[in-house]
Amino acid sequence: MGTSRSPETGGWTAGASVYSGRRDPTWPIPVELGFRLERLWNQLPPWSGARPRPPPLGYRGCSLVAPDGREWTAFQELVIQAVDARRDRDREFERLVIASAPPGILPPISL
Amino acid sequence: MEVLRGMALIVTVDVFSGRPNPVLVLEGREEQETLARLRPSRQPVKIPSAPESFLGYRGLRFELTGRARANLPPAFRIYDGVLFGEDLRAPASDPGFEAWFTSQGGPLGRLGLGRAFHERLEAWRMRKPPEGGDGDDDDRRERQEGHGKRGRCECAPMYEPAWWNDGGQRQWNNNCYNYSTNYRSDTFAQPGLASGAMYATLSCKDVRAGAVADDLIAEPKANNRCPKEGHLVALVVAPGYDFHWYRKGRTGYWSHKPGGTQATNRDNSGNLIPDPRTADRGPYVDFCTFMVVMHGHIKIA
Repeated sequence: MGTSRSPETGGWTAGASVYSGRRDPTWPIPVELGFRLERLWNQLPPWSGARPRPPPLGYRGCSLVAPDGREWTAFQELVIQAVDARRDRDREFERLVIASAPPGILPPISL
Repeated sequence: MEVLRGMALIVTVDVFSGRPNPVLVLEGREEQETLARLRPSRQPVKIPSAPESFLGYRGLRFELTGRARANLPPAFRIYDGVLFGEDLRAPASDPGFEAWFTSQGGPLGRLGLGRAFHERLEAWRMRKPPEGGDGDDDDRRERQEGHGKRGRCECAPMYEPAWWNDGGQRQWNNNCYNYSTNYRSDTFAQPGLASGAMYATLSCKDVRAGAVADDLIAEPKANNRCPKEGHLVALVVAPGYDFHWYRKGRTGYWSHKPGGTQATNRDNSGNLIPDPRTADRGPYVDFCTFMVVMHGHIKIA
């Protein structure tokens, strides 16, 4: 597990914004999962309307960083990559990222 | 005019904090004219309190060397037209003394400090001493939304989220512990790390012990009251997972900086925080203790 915000060299990296005193955790994920999340993203419709705002404390969303540096963040139904925002009604992107975390890295998160 | 032969007058412009203050030595006619203008007046005026420690112009300090002068002590100060010294608290006979002395055409101009210095000094001189409470928009909003019911904490840091929320180095590398202690380390500081006593478990007991090792002072009975010195912080814990800190601001409300995210004065329900014990803290369910940060005493890393 890494602890920085930078992608781990050569692979896909997931993370969660969840802590305050400790650094937020990041972890490497399999290449296949990275491609799966990218395909999922490509199928999502554009976001419209007000965006959900995460609370200051506790779970504030998750992230995915590709080997080429592209970064996605997801919170509830909102998934963002650069300036592109899309709607994920089933929150599948977020669930897949959180489910990939090694045991013990994250506190209990209810999605 | 009484002539004071054999005396020198050392004048210090009390204005800087980090740099040495400008000093001028007056002799001969210049010294005589200065002392004549400084002669204590018997005119009844309202005497303000002596200038205390604040940033900016704090007056002109004088030291008399050589033979003593009957109506002036060996060391005194003039501020806002009033002389302060041992057994001395009276207006100067020339109410425009400071304006004359500190102008570029007056005695201070001899030091060649430049027009910009004199203009800045004049601006400082015209200001009144600060009374505290200079805040930003959020600070004003706090006051509008209920300040008055809570006591002000004059020693507490200002709520200035824009300084921390730069979206870069400062924001991402300083966490709740940095923010609450008002100590930028750019290391995502951990309680006890600087003193080699970092917490072993994420519990109130261990994190508090780490903070004490960093020279924070445990004040479990503070009961949300401002300390006389330093400022109040509060430790909470998500047992087994994380710790979090809040700090009490000048308005009496609390603010915090969750990890690398932005500093805010709102809790998880979007409310201002009059007391962290009753705030919506999400998973940080254990309120551990209040502590006091004495400015300049702590070391965190």
